[in-house]
Amino acid sequence: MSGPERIERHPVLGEVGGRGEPVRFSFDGRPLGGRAGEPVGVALLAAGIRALRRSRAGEPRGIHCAIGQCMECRVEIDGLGTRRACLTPLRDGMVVRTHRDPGSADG
Amino acid sequence: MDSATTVDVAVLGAGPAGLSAAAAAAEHGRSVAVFDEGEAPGGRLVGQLHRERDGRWKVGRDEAERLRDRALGAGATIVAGVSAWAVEPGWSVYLRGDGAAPRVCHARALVVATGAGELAAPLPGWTLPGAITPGAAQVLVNVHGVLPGRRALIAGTDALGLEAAQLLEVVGASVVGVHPVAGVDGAAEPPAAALRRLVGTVGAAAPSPLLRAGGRLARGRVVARAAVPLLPRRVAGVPLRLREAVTALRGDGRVEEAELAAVGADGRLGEARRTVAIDLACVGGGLRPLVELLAGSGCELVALPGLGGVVPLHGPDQQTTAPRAFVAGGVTGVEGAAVCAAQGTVAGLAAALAAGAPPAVRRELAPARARVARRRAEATVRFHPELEPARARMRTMWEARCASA
Repeated sequence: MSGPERIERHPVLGEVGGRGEPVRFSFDGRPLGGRAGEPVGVALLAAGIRALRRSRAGEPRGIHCAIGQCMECRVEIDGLGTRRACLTPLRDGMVVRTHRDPGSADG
Repeated sequence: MDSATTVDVAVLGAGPAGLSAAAAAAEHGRSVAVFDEGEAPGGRLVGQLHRERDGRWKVGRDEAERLRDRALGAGATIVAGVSAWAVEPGWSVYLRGDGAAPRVCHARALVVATGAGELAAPLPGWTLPGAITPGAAQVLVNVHGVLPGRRALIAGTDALGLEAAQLLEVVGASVVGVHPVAGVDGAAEPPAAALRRLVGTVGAAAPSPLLRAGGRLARGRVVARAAVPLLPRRVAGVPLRLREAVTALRGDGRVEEAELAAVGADGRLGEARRTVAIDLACVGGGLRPLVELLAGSGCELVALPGLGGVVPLHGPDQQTTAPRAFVAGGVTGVEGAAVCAAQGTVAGLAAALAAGAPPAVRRELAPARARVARRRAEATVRFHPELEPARARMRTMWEARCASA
């Protein structure tokens, strides 16, 4: 199984996803590419990264509802703070990190 | 906009209900601002792709664009990417966003159209990365253009799960099955009861195999103890597996396999377990109205399971128990987009009247209310089998409250 991937052409809708210009960003120090304006969590998913935060018990959590309601996809973004990865638009040069609750098991 | 803004009507939520409310109020000369957390207006509509019985696709984002253009054309302002975190009677809406959006919006009338959120079934492993809601699969595929996995299992046999399965197969993923979720009591919904529920809720939307199975049920040729012997293996093009329940999701840091158990005619699970390798699980537990913003507003809330849970007590003009506050769409009970939009029009007209529109506007309310009833009668999917009795109960409760006030 090759995991998540971008849909270049949707069989019913044709063009889907943001058409923003290519940008660079990083997640926990790892350099990655994405499209400007698409949600940070979508760029990470397209890069095969699903675990976005750690629960207090140290368990990995990722995108769950994808529309900002469940709060499971929280990440740390330099200059912004804690943000929902499914809603926050990706910008060039963003420095994104795994979110850890204060006092979490592996924090 | 400055850090504070003042309008006649503030609308919370830019889904079909909110956009329709905004259009109706703005078309009657009210200044209107709509606020939504999403990056683009449309709410759940933008992710929806529904196959009609004749095989044609109904594209939610096209409908969302029509509704948005109508609201904008009427002069409403839509502010996307901003969260409303509190409302105060009067009305004041407190907002938060990363852009230049206002921090507070004062309005004479308020329309709350926050919609409904998905619930996850309490399945061990549901928090693993790679376990998402059926609605999330729709949004990731249809809005963001990312396939969240190649080999998916759908946990939860309802309209949302079936639609997610159908979509994933259309875009090239393989769906190992749409399965019921085992309860914490070690049982699942009996297959015959599940089939009966599906025929009652999605029967009108599903192609013939489900209807044929339902017809046999109705004629009494499927006996419960025979555990649905004639159940089709594929419904609406997807593998529906009512006789095998998911008992857990497992994996090292992400979803890697699902554990399954046979479901007997009485719903009891067999002893044996088998596992199936997957990299995506869509775990659905239904939808619930998003009423949190109303909690401190003075709008009375009531619990009606047929509407999806706790909802604001509201009347036929979508009015609540708080002055000049109206509700429309999923927050009033879980229904489809066409019903939500029709409710939004009623709420927008009523809010316009509350915010000083000419009394002649009142004449438009009756036809708008009639449209809600018509859209409800035409709906092909019912999210809860007890929807109609719950709507009737809401009417009774509203009348009782008016009589006592």
